[in-house]
Amino acid sequence: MVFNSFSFLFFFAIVLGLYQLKWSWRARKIMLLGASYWFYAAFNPPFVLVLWASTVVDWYVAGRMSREENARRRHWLWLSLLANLGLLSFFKYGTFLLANWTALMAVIGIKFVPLNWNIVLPAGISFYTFQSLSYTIDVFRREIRRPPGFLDFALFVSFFPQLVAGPIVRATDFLPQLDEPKQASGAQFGWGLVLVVIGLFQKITLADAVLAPVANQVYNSALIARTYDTWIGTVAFAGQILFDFSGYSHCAIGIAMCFGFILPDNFRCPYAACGFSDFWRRWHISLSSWLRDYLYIPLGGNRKGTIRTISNLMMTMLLGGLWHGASWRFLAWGGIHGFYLVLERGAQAWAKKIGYKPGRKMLALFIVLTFPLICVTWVFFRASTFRQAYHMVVSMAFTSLGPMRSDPAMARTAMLVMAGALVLQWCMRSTTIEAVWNRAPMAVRSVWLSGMIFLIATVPVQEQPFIYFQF
Amino acid sequence: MAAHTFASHRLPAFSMAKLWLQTACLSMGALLVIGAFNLAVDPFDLRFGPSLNLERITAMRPLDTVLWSEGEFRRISPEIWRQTTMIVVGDSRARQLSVRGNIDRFEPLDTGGYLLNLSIGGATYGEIFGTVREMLPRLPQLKAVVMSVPLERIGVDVRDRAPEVYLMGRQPWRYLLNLRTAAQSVQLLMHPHSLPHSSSDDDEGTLEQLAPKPMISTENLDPWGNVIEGKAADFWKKRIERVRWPLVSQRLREQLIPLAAELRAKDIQLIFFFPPLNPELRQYYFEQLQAEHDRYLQSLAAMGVVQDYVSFRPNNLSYRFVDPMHLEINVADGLLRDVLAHSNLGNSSGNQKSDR
Repeated sequence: MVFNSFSFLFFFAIVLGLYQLKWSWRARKIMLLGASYWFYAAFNPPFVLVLWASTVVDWYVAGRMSREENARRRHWLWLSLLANLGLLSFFKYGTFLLANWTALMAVIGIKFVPLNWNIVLPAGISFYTFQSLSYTIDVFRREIRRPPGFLDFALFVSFFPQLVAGPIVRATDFLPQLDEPKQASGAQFGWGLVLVVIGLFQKITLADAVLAPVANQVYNSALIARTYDTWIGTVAFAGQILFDFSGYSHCAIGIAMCFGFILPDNFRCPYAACGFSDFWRRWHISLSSWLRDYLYIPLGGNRKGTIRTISNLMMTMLLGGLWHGASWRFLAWGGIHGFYLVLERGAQAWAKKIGYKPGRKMLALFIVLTFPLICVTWVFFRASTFRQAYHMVVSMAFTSLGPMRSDPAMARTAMLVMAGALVLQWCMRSTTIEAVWNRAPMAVRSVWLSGMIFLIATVPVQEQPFIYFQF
Repeated sequence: MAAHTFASHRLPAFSMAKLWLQTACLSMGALLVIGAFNLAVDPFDLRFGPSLNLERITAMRPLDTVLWSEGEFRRISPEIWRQTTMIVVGDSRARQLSVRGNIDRFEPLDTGGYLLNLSIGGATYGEIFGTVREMLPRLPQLKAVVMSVPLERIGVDVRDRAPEVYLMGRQPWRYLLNLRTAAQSVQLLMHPHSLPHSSSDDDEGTLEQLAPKPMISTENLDPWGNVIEGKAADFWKKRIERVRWPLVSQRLREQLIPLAAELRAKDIQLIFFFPPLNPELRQYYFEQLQAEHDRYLQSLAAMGVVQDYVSFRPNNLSYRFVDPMHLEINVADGLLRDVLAHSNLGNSSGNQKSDR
């Protein structure tokens, strides 16, 4: 059940209707929890048990941890880490690890024939595992001193708007919202619906109808694409993944707001980033801040000398890449981002040393350079194999000039949309959608919103799942 | 701890009720206009009568092109690529030619090396030629190319071209509230006597200019575009009406000649393969296109070996069809062996052929 489907619309209307009934706050929370499990079961019913098991373990562990002292607390934390990362490893990395182990054995001459387990990945397991894990770590750090009841905790882990693809919510942000009865104000409800429309517009009209066909044409073809095709396909994919994921996040935030809940922002004009650390402050913010707070800083961050800083950065980005999927390509994607960050940090240190302060023109140049370099990393994200990624990157370096193979009309439309999106992001890099909406006259807002609804309803496109569901 | 920002902290200050009221009026109005416009123009003739206007539908760009996917490539090991000595290229009728029952793309040859079937369902000539060109660098041992000869324009399914037309039967609103239908409506109003041509049709040559194709009715199709049981021969007859001389347009032949020369220069045998038609359809085909077929054969014979299974049938093979165009799999296997027998890389001895 995805947000861009009629079944979800029906589900949302029913849950919203039930939520408006004059029940006790506890009864409404139970209803929301039931709806969330129903929503998750729609993907694959047995995996509700995995979600439930993860919830029970972390709730129990956190409860025990809050009552224990020092060394024993650490034991409970290890249990939580083991349970969560164990589940994640089994479902997400099991096949990958086994395949690599088999290959390694073959290299040293041992024929290892693994069992064919045919493991199916539960939807959103990376998201709710990280969310649940952050809670036990927060309890361990005593940032949460009063563990919640089971109902509140289960709702925190499984709240359906953000269950399958984030934003990854922190317990400290969400649990306090469950203390008092929540009801969306008229403004919240209206704005929540606007965010849903913006999200669906990004997903259906921009990502699925305009950009995905162009990216697919280049990446699904086995023919080695020419330079123009690879750039067009990759830029189209850069747009597709942004609008697909940002569309989901907008929908999630908007739907939660219709119930009166507040979720954190996940995107802030990432393609207007000036450099790579700026990119990660704008792209998938809930994941990058998670990695920073629960991995990079505990590893020592930048406090333990240059070598440790570099290794911490690389480690964080490699694991961030691996979080996306069990594949060497995702590892490469994370590794290239880590390399970019290390390079940027080195350049900043050098500039500081010689007393250089970049002017406005230089900053503009950094912004212009950041986007194509980010696009190069997307090749590894989108390609089916390393071999394809290699050919694509080589082709992007102007080594395969020749007539374009992509459909010119589709490519032209996609590039125009991307040019418009980039200009819009650069214009809005220091502001927010809400601020822009506030400044616009009422007539412009209505026309804008109506235009988006019109395009959502009329673009010829097949229903597609969100890309990040696979993670 | 993370410094999160929250959308609710910056809730817009304007009246939501007023905004949504205006939006509802505007968007509903716009949707009504486009729906009424599409219903009035009805660019695919779906409102008045049962005929699909294939001319209009084929003029539209398909949603996606059918090409080999990287996933399919990965299923075949590099070793097999290196040892492939023969490839089959063509449409769905050539796609059937596989000893392993249409599951795997490759099979070992008795004479060593592998045969790789690179056919694509619904492939056009442009795609077939493109496939050969792109595959050549991957196949260092290649000795023969079996090129199945599709009847131009016959393999394109209407559903691939305009899927929304097929939604009409189930979800009329998806057809009416559709920008592509609207674009087609506008085209039709602006050029009522000429049909638009999409870029993807360019490589199909100038067939329309030489011989305008007749309209094809949907009398043999159910509301969802499937051929009605027992009406398959009639349906394909109607399709054959679309095929006129030249079976391959001049522009495509201009692409084929250098490709054939390139293969000859690399000492790669080129075999043109005409897949069989069922008896009823074959009779109809020859009644309509006998002279064109013979001339076409001659022009191809100048470029390679021609294996004409429309005219001739191997003695040891009785054709059985799943529909008038497509053979049963096991018959197709026998046919493949016959094709191989007539190449330099044959698996078995050649068969005598009976007359048509």
